Amino acid sequence: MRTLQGFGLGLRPDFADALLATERELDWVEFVPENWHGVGGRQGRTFDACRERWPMSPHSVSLSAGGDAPLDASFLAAVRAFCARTGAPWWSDHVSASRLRDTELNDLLPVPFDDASVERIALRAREARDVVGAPLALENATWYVQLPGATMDEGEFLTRVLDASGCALLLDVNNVYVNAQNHGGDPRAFLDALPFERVCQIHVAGHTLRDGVVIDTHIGPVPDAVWALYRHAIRRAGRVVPTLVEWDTEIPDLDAVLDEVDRARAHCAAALAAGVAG
Amino acid sequence: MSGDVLDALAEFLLEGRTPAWLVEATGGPGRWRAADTPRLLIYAHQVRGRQRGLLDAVFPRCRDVVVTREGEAAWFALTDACFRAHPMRDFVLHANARGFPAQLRERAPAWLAELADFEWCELRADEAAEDVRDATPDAGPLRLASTVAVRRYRHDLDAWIDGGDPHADARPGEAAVVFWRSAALDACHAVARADDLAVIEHLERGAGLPARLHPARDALVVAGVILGARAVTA
Repeated sequence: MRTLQGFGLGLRPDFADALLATERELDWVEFVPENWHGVGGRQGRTFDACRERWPMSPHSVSLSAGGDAPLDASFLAAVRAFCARTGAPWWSDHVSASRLRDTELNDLLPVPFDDASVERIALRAREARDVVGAPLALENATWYVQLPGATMDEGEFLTRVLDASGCALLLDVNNVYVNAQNHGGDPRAFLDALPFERVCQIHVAGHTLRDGVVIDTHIGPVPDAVWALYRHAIRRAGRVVPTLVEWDTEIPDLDAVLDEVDRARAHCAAALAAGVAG
Repeated sequence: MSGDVLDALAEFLLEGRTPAWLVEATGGPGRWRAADTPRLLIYAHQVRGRQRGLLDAVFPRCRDVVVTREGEAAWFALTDACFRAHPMRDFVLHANARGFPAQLRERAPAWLAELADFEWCELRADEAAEDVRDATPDAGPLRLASTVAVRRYRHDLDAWIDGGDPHADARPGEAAVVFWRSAALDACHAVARADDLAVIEHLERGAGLPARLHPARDALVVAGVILGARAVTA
C-alpha cells in the first residue's frame, strides 16, 4: 500500500499528458474512477504512467451513499480493482445521493438531514467499504436546498454519519465556504465543530456566484476566502493534511493549475508556522 | 419520510417536473425554506448540463449538424429525449451515450443515426480496454485485433467527414467501414473493400485464406487490423 502525503492534484484527461511531462513538484494524484474504468489505449497508458510516478487515490461520485437505489456491485468491483491496482490507502466519495430510481444522475444531490439518512448512509458506507476492502473517506458535499424533514444541522449530521459509519472525513474546504455563503453560518465555527481526528484529506477549489447563489464549479484559481478557511483548517488539524487542488472548469495551462498546488503548500506551511491562531 | 423525499426528487429530475410540483409532493411550502425552492432548478440544470456535455463530447459531428441546421434548442431537446428513452444506468459516464444512435433512427436527416454510430465506434476504438491477446501482436495465430468492428452504412460518411460541411448531406452509397486501434494507439477507420471484408470474415470463421486474399491480408496486417504478422511472414 502507498501513502498519500503532501499536496496533490485531481487527474483530468485534459491535462494528463502534460502532467506526465512536467518536472514540477507534485506529491500525489487523485482520479475519478468513473472516467478511467475500462479505458485502454492512449488514455489507459497515460493512467498507468501516472500510477508508476505518483501515489494515487480513487475519488468517486457514484457511490450514492445517501441514495435509495441498491449499491451498484459493478461500480464497487471497479473501485476495488482500482484500489488494488494503485495501492491506494483509501478511496473517497460523498455524503450525497447520485443514483435514484436505479438511474445515474451524475450529480451530487442533497439528502435530508435526519436520523433515517444517518442510518442509511452509515449502513451503505460500511457495506461499500467492506466490498471494496479499503478504508472509505466521505466528503462533505455542497447542498443548495435543505430538503424537508431536517432534524439537525449539517455539522451534526456529518459528525453522526462519520461516527455511525466509522469512515474518515475528506474535508472539502470550498464546500464548507459555499454552504456557509448559501445558507448562512460561520464556516470557521463549522470547521471547529468537526471531528478533525477523522480528517484524512482536504480538497480546495473555486466556485462561481450565479444568480445570487454560490455554485461549486471547481473553477480556479482558489479564492482568497477559501485559502483563509484552509489555513484555519490546517491550524485546527495541527498537522500537514494531504491536500488536493480540484480544477474542473475552464482549465488553463497546466502550470497555472500547478501554481495552485504550490500555493496550497505555502498556505499549509504558513498556517502551521503561525500555530493555533485566533 | 426520507425515502419519500428522495423519490420525489428523483421524479422532479428524471421526469422534468417543476419545483412547485416537488414542493407539493413533499408536503407543501410549509416544509421548505422559501429561499430554497427556486434553487431546485440548479439541480435540474446541472443534471441536464452534464447529460448534454456527455453527448457533446462523444458526438461532436452530430451536434454540429443539428445545431448548424436547427439551432441549439433542437440539440438540447434531442439530448433530453435521449436520456428519457435511455436512462443512465452505467457508472461509467461514456457508456451511457450508447443509446444515442438508436435515438436518431427516425430522425432527419436519415444519415444522422449512421453518423452517430460512426462516432460511437470511433470512441470505442479509442477507449476500449486493453486485451491480453493484443499484447504480442507479432506472435500467435493470425487474428483480428480485439478493437476491430465492421459497420455497414447506407451513406458515404467517410466522404462527408472529409468535406467537413454540416450543411451538406452525406451522399447515399453502401459502404462497410472498419474501425480499429492501431499499434500506435490511434483510433482508425477505413472503408473496407470486398477483399478486406472477405479476409475479416474468413478470420472470424477461423477459416484458411485462399491465396487470392493474401494481398488484402498483408495490407490489413500492416494497418494493424490483423495481428499475428510473424505467422504470415514466416
